[in-house]
Formats: sequence, structure tokens, C-alpha cells
Amino acid sequence: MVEKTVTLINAEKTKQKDILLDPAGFFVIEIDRKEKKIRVEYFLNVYKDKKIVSGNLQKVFIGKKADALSDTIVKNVPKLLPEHYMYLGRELLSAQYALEKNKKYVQGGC
Amino acid sequence: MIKEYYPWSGEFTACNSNSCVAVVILNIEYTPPDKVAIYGPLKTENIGIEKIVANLISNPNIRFLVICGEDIRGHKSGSSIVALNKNGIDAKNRIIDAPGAIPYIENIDKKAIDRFQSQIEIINLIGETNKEIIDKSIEKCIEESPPSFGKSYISIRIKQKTASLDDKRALHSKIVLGYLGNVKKRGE
Repeated sequence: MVEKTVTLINAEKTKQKDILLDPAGFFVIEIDRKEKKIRVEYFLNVYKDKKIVSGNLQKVFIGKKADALSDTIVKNVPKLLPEHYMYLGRELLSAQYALEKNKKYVQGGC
Repeated sequence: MIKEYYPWSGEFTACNSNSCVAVVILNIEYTPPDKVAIYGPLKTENIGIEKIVANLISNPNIRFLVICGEDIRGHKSGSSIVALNKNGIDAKNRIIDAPGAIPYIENIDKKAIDRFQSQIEIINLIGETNKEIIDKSIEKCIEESPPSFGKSYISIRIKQKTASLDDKRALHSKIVLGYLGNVKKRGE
């Protein structure tokens, strides 16, 4: 009989104060109701006095489905923090749900 | 034409492009009459404001911006766009005297802000949530019927990505044909 021990880990949300802002930039997610599409804008961080104060628009992604948008963002915006990709995945799914059900979508925090 | 008018798409609704009024909706559930040119929410005091300015100045028919509802806590985005219209930005791109936390303008240039200040008169209804009062204010602007500001001002353009030489998919589509029309070579 082969015995194998695997670690079981309980999920825990990172506290707001411990969330690290991604030095690679940030995203603004909106729903374009006219085009019936999700719109994702990618910005590079703009720093003033070592603080992120805004962003410089670099790329815009449009699509209807969270999976297509996720795949495209991964290809076109490499080197984000892993938690940032995970955040995008769940936000895009919320946006897709709101688009399909015609509900209000407000982008959530990390 | 409408596409050309509002170059930075997003969560807004475009109605009558000949109208002289745009409406920014802060913290209220309100739908303006469809005789306005464009309306939408404002959330952030940096990118949110830039997007509104870029879209407003693209349509020279818009001469009034009605801002209504309760201002956004912390961001103070409504008051910050009022400050931008009144004071402009400083050398560090910060909106002068804006009460928001990080009111910096980074995606549109100084000329666009000058144009926003010249073209747009703000009707400051921050704190007003009575829909009848807001409707009346919009109506009053429409009655004034000021002339168009002239040419459209496009401060930002978002273009569809086209194939480039470092795009492998584009190179793979290169086909060399023989004299009988048969494919002799595909790709690089």
C-alpha cells in the first residue's frame, strides 16, 4: 500500500491592508451597454512622490466572455502578480454575469 | 459620427449628439431625458474625469455639464471636475484645489484641458438628488441653446491592433504561389 500525505490548506482572504498593489499596473473594467461588451483598460502606474496616483492607458481589451478576455490579457500583459491575474479572472466573471443578466456591475477591490 | 465624437468608450449613454447638455451622475439612481447629448456615472477623480473631458470636448455641441447627486466619498470626483473646469492643473498634473485624494490628469494634455475650460460651463448640482430639479436645470440649459463650439477636439484615439512584423500569426499567413497558382510556401 502506498501512503501519500498531501497538505490541506484552508482558504483565507488576504486582509485589505496586506494587499500589494501590482507594480506592473492596474485594470479598469466596465460594461459597454451599447456595444454589449465588457471593456478592460490596462494602465501603467503613474507615481508621484512614490505613491500610485493614476495610470497611463496602454491597452484596451473588449469581449463578451470572461474566458476569452482572461486568455487575451494573459497573452498581452505578461508579468503581472499571480494574485492580480486571479483577481482579474473573478472580476471578469462578475462582469460577464452582469452583462448577460443586464445587471449593474461595479468593479470590486482586490 | 457618434463614434468619432466619443473616442474613449465606457459606461456612458449617448443620446442626441446635437444637444448642448451632458450629465454626470454621482451617487444617485437617475436617468436624464434623452434630449441630452450624453450621460453617465463618475467614480474616480483621475481616470474617470479624464474620460469625461476627452468625450465632452470631442462633441463641440456640448456646452453644459450638469453634475448631480451626492459626491463620491473620499474621491470627491464631482467637486474635482468642478475644480478642473475652474482652475486647470499644476505642473505636476494635479487638479488645482481639487478635494479628491489623487486628482491627477495623465492621459490627456494641457490643450485638452484648456478646451474643456473654454467649451464647457458647469452646472453644479452636487448634493442635489431631486430628479425634478435636475430635469428643470437640464431643460433650462437646452432652452439657452448656445452655438456649437466649432470643430471636434480629439484628445485620445484608441485604435484596433493591426498585424505587425513581430506578430507571428501575420507572418504565418504569408503565402508564396507558384505560376499555376499552387501554394509553394507558407509562413516565414
